[in-house]
Amino acid sequence: MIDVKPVNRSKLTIIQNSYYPELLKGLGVTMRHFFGNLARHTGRAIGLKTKDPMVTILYPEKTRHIAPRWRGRHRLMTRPDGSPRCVACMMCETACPDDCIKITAGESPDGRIEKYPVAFEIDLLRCCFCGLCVEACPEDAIRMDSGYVALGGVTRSEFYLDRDFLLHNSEMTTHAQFPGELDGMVVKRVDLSKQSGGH
Amino acid sequence: MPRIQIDGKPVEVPDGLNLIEAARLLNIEIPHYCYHSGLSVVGSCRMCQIELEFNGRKSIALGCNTLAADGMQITTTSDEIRSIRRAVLEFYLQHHPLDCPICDDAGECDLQNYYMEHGLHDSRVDLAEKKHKHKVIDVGPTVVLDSERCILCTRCVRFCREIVGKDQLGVYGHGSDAELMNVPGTKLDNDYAGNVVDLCPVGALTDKDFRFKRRVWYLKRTPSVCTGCSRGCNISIDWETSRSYKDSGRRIQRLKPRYNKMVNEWWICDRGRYSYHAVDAPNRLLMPISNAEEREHGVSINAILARAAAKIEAIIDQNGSASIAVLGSAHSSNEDLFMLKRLFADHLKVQNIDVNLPGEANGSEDQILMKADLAPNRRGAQAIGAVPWGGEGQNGEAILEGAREGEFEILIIVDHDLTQYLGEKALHKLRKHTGYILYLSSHSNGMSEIADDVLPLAMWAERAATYTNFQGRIQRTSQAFDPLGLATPEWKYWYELAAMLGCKCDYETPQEVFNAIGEHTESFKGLRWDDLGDQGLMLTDAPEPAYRKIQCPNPLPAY
Ligand code: SF4
Ligand code: SF4
Ligand code: SF4
Ligand code: SF4
Repeated sequence: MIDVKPVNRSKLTIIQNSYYPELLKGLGVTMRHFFGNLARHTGRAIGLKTKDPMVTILYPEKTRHIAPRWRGRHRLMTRPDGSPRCVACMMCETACPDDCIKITAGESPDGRIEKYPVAFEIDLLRCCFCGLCVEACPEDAIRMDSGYVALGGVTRSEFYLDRDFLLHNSEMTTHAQFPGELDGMVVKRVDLSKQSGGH
Repeated sequence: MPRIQIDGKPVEVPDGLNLIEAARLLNIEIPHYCYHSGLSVVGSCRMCQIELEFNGRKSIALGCNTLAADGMQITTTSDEIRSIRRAVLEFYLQHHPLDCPICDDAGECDLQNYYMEHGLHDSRVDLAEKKHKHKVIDVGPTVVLDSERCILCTRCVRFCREIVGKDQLGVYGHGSDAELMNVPGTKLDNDYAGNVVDLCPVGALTDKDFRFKRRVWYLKRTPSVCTGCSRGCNISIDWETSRSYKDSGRRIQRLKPRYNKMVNEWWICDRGRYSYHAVDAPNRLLMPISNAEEREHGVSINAILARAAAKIEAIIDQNGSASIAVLGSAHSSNEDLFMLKRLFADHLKVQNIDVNLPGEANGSEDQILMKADLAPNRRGAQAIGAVPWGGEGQNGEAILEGAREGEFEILIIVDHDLTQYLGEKALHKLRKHTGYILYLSSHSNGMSEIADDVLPLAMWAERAATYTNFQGRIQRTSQAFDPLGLATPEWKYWYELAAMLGCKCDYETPQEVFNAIGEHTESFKGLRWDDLGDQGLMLTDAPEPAYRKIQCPNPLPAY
């Protein structure tokens, strides 16, 4: 038996129903912040010790601070010789709650490595950026620290990242950008369509 | 019948049973690697040690080579046993590569399972000191060996020697250099090679056909019966449909043997093991085809059935049922053949019914499992009565002969590709003289090109059915997944056609059809679907065969 929990929704009072008092309340909040912030900025300007005023970040030229463990677009790591570190074990494919990773395994040409991904595709449109794939990987082959967090595109196919794109992805950003370097960093607008070979 | 006590539970076991098997009767598992119920006992893996109290003496004994005797008291889990198991496992894992993530056996590996259950120790061996052996060794046309993962249980060696009677694998070298290899000058190329992969408790032997295709935890398992030949070995279908982007969408990933003492014990042959490729073959028929008119536009199944019904009715009115011939198939299930007989023999009084054609493709036969007759249900066709009858009925050979001479107005053919039997000239003649050919098949072939109407058939994994093997054992298959396209089980077509031709039968499911067979057919009298169980039942007029150990007539000794 599934328990059903009834939710009591209280009826709107006459005052709430009459709309204007609530509207004024809301405007009041906006005004409080506006004048408060104005006062803090003015105070700062004339050298008073005020609380930190709010600033508007000039997005997209500037971004907020991005923590090093921020989960952005995936990348596949490479071995020193440039071959994928991934061994096509499909742990990430198994762990992914959204079924957005598609791996086809093949016999590796390198005798010491048994398996490698012949195809590795991530469908970003299904991805919920949970990071479970990264957690699951026994080879540290997949990461989400590429620094690309502002993703945009105009066709679906731009969001299907294939193996070579994901590998290439790792060359564009390096670890040196962390920690803290993304603070105020200029957002790279990546033209996904050029790289994923979509369309 | 010795009475023993296992973990305090009393049990009476048959004579000559070892303790591993005895514990199994109580659903207690004694861990083991080298022991296999179907092979001789070597007692080399040391995993199955248990505490034994007998005649007032306490000792540690091996579960596999201690036979149960009256008064034995066995403890399978004590602190001492646990520490023994942990120590044994530590030896096994000393040089083990532990590449579980890329090992195809991960998920069904006894080393993994027992480690999680009994080991859970930290390794005392430095990674750099681990011994390396050969990986990816091509031991035969179907099997790959990773000798680094091998735990030298010799199950595979014994299987080849004792069951197949061939000396193709052996352990060479001493101590920690010992390694499994092909016996020099041989390859693992016997007809049962695939079984060593099932036997191997670890991922040392992998099947080239399944290797890297799927992780085992993706697979779903459906019990079934092999339709590769008339023995009807019991199998499990391991399938997966949710990752259709892999291997061009093939749904069956592998077939595994399923134990049936009276049919195949633990084994299946490679012919059956890899027969599933036909199910997802690119030439499967997905749609009904009408070569007569609508080839371009497509046609519905109902339109074809309605046309067939109209033609049959008209011809019977005009010329009588003698100008109709029905060529069923011994590849069809009992239900299919029953409905075929019900409709054509009982209702329409067509006498020219048969399933046998001279010169049907035969396979090789041996004294282990394989039968030459590749049709899984010839015995069933006989028992159900899909045979020429009434004195004037013609058999398959005569039907073929008559069809060539234009004797029949309507030919109804299941599965048989007549283009394999007749030359071009004869085919041309047949086509010219026969008014209407209805062909039912799972795959497109020469016959589906020349028939007037073609209906797509569902295959064995796509439907529930029963088959009668050469001994007369009726066995069930289950439906693993839906048929491709519009393919439908054969009996359903006959059922629809029967309804159009005014033959009343009220069966909605194969279960109901089977129960009807039990009511109407002498050799199936009283049998019901639910009673068949997972091991099948004999035809009522077939004697239960004597038990025979499945092995070749001249096995080699273990060592
Ligand atoms: S982040 Fe989560 S949803 Fe996205 S691919 Fe990884 S596991 Fe799947
Ligand atoms: S978990 Fe890591 S190694 Fe395994 S398939 Fe995914 S990326 Fe490759
Ligand atoms: S054989 Fe078992 S323990 Fe060894 S690597 Fe394979 S799954 Fe892991
Ligand atoms: S390959 Fe497998 S079955 Fe054969 S000896 Fe090694 S572990 Fe045992």
